[in-house]
Amino acid sequence: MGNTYLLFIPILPLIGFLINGLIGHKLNRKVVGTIGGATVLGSFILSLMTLFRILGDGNAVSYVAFHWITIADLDITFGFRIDQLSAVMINVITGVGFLIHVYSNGYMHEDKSVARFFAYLNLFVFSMLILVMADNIVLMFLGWEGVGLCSYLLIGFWYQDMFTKKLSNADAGKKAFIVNRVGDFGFLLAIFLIFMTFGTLNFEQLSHADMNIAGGLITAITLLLFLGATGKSAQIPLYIWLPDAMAGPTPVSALIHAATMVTAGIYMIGRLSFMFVHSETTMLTIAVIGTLTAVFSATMGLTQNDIKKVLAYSTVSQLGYMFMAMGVGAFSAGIFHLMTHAFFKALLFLGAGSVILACHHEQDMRKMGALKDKIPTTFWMFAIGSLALMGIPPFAGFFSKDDILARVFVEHKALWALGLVGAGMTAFYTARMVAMTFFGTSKMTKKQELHVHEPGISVRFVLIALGVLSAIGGLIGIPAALHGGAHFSHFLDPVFEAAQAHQGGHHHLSHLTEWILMVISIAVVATGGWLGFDIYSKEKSIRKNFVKHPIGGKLHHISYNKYYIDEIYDFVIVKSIMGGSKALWKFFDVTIIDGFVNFVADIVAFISGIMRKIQTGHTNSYAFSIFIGALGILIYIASRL
Amino acid sequence: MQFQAIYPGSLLVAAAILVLMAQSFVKGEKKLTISLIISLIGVILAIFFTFKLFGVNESFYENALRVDDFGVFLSLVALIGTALTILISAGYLKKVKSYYTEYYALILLAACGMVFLTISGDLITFLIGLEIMSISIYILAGFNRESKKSNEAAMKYFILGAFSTGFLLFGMSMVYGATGEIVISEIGKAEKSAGMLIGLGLMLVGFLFKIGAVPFQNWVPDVYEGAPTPITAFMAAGVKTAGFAAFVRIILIAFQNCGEEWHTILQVIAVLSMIVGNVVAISQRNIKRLLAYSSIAHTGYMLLAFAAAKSDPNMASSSILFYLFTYTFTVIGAFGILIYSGRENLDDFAGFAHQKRFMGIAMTVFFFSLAGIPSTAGFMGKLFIFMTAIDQKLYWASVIGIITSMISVFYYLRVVVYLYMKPEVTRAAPLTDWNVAIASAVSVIGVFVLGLIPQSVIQLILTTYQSMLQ
Amino acid sequence: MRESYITILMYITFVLVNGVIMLALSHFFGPRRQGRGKFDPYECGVPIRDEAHKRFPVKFYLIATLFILFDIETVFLIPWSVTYKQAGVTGFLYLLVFLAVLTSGFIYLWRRGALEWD
Repeated sequence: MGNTYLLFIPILPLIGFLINGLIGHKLNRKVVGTIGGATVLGSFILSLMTLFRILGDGNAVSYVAFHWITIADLDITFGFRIDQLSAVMINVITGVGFLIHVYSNGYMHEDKSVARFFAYLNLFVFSMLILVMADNIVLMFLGWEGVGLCSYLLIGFWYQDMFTKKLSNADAGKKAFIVNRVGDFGFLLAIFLIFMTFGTLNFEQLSHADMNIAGGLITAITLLLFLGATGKSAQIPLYIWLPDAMAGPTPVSALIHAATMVTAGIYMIGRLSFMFVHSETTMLTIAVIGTLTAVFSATMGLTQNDIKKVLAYSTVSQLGYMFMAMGVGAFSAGIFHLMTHAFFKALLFLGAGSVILACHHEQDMRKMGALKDKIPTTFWMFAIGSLALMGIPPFAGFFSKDDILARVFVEHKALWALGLVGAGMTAFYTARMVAMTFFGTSKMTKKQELHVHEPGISVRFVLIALGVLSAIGGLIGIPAALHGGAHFSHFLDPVFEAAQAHQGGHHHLSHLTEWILMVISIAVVATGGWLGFDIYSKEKSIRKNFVKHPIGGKLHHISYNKYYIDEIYDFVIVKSIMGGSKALWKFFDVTIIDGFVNFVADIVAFISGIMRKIQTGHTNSYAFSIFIGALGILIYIASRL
Repeated sequence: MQFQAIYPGSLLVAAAILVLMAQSFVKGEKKLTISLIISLIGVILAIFFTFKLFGVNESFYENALRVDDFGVFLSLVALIGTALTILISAGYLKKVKSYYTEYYALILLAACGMVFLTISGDLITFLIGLEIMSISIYILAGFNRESKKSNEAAMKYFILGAFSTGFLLFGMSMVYGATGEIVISEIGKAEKSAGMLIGLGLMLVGFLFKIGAVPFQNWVPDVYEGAPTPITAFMAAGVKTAGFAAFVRIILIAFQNCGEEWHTILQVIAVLSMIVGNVVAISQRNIKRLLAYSSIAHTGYMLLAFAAAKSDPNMASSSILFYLFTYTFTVIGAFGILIYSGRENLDDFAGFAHQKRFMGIAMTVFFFSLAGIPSTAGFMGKLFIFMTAIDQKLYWASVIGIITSMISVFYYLRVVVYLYMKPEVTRAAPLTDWNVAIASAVSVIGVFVLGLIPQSVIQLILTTYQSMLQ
Repeated sequence: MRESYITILMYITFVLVNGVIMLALSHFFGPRRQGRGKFDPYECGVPIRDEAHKRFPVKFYLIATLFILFDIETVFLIPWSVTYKQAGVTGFLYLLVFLAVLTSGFIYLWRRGALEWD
């Protein structure tokens, strides 16, 4: 078979992991970084080859390394199958992954355990590739757990540090891993049920299986799968680990907690779309949960002062949009957004990373400001990323988000409205973030300001590369309404054929409606963005001086009114909505979710403590327990006589 | 040639006698090395001759021995466990500076008991094998004579063991009374009767005690904690394997007509074991105790598959066999590292992985395998177990099993967190012992081979149930 | 079949009832005298001179245990001697193996000093 090279796509990063993990601490840090980056670059080249091959003939490429488990009618292979969907995924993973490896070379140059870092990073890329390349669910689960493990290791990478007052970095990692296990429980159970129902775990065979089984069962299976997806992709109610995951180094947040791993849930739904569409209940649940998450975490993003936390809540929110798309059957739109999001969110995280480095590991935006001219490259790239995230045309995020909203509009008007509100808030907090960080006045000490510097050449290169992708990445999916070809969606069509066939032809919006929707969403986004920028980039003290100034006095009236409006903003938006959001965040995130998690943990620990007391240490009580057990068994048997 | 059936057992006894002779005539530290070599050679020869028994599938000595692939496979597992135990024991004896090489002789004798237990064809051979094994282990549990805990462990294990053997014997006599047969395959042909059912209940008590299932598990934490660490590993791996071997054979063959009864009992006990083992383990800070509770939980998982044996005995016994194989590597590896590091408490393991890189990695691998993280043997084992159980519609028990195994990740992971993510504490330097290192390396390889390329082992296992019936 | 057990049942009943009657009679009709002598280990006979719980060397136990082990030898030897003609050379060889194992145990005891009194 000419497809053996597929095996090397995941194997190369694995080799990098083994070298860096086993002998990395003895190597020069440059060598370590080169190995880490080069292996991923190799995978990227192979992935590109695969992509072009699929673009050429449209056929999926598959390769079976060996038969992993064969029991009776169960045959699980260690095999890969690359179709259009996984081709997109492997290119995003290795492409963005490679850029982030390059970035990390610059970013981590002070860290003493850089070998460990690159080893984990390579292991992550390996696991993620296994996840998306697998031709069956069990192999996918292997990657699924692998990425969770790497995520945990990397969140706790600086394990000596404290993330918050109560939570150390190591604890943050552990929290992520354990919350994910709740989702994995669902996934694992779903795997067993799928095997029991369909007798196979191979995606290809499953897609041909008869899905017209008892409705309850298919709903149960898909809901359990969705539970797994909510854990990995940080959706309500399992999203709580993602903001804490920001304890990890910034490149990790960019790669794992924004661009790739958290999208695994979306990928899984896309992969099994032919199964999901057979349960109306599940699809509706996905759409509703996605929308709620999108709006809910956007409100939380409004009040965060930690630059990485803003991005974290934003990621949760954007993932919500993807789920929303999946839930209404707009699979290719969801995957499209997944891809563009990977570009601009990675860019934003990496930009935030170089801001943080420039400010000497300061992450609080209230202590930044006026960085625009001091680190121009970072600023411009960050700005591009922000515009893409807001959804301003022609940046990448616009096309994908608009695609989603248009499809949601067809299916559920209410969800569309909520999604629109979310988009407005997204624009608001993004603009606020940019304003607080790069505009206004500097809140740093003189000494700190002297140290502000642009990052190294490799870091800038990565930022620019991602900036270009974020700027033009959306162009491959220009909808027909804008005289584009919607190439991306057509490219993915073969994958979602079965699912779309079941749903029946979806209602096409007229181009006029699409235009109107587009204008509405641009208006909402622009308003939100302008508000956010306006409130946070201007200082009251500046305005006061402006008023006292002789020339400025003439403009006093306008300024006053402006100020007045500011006050209204301040009162209406900052005090009430934001206060409400903050209260909501405190109440929901801290009290309910954390409280619930702690409650469960406490209960288990409590029961554990009681049960431990049964262990008296007295032999006679042990013998008594045996006696009781024997009695129980004999009574049962007597009842059967 | 009926002798071939007893080659492995005889070789082990011969090696044990040679070790005793070495103890009698060799002086000083040399006898430790000599005994180690003799024991290893003995076990490896036994493994070799056991391996040659594959495919024999015959009964020997008037049905006293039943050599089939099922028993031979589990003999091999028990013997591999014995070999690994001997390797980690070498490090232990060096550490406690003990020159009592009777230790090795007792391990070999226990292994001999295990071999006969796995290939027993009638109830008498079964009982004798069980007792040879148990008595050796009782002594070994109390081998550390200076330690009060060790003495206490031996005493408790002995008293409770005798108590449970009483149930077992009583059950056997009931069965004999009801059927007039002691040959396992002949008992299976008898009709279901009251005497047999009562016998089943009583024998279950004995079995469940040996494998440490709830509510017969109370001895496990105390004995595991008190016994010398290599012996704890031996109990967790070897004794459990041999116990399950006889358990599965007797239940599936002799009591094949009483499926309804043992199905229900085992299901209840499996659920109890999984819950108690995993939940109580959370509050343990001594790793030996933690592994003791985890061993109770693992027994629970295997019993879950066992409960599924009523309708699909082939898959059930296969998944139990596979699980035992994976568990042997995992648990002996884990205990080996406890010996290597010379620590038992969770807090003492803080930063250990930075002190000893490879041992840290190995310990991580073992604990991940115990937790059932994919690509390790433990995951593969759990996958079979739950697949079998769900396939046979044991939904609730399986859901509880999966939930508790998710809970278990918490305490396994905590150990790994201590290994890597806690500031280093300066402790006595770990001993550098090649024997323990070799045992760990073999176990790590075993864990990955069974996790990644288990196919050949699975093919072998899948025919074992049929071999019992022939 | 079951009828034949009736005699046994009657026997058991008789024994139980008889025992209870005896105890009851002596309880009701027996004389009761309280005195210092009541608390002596022996109500009659030689007065006690010192503690009944005397310590004696653990070696007694060891020797006794070892004796049991060698006693077992007889259990195997006697059946063989009864049938040695039928057992033939094979039987003799088996016995030699058994004795070799036993002897090695003896050598071990001897070399480890289990037989030395001091």
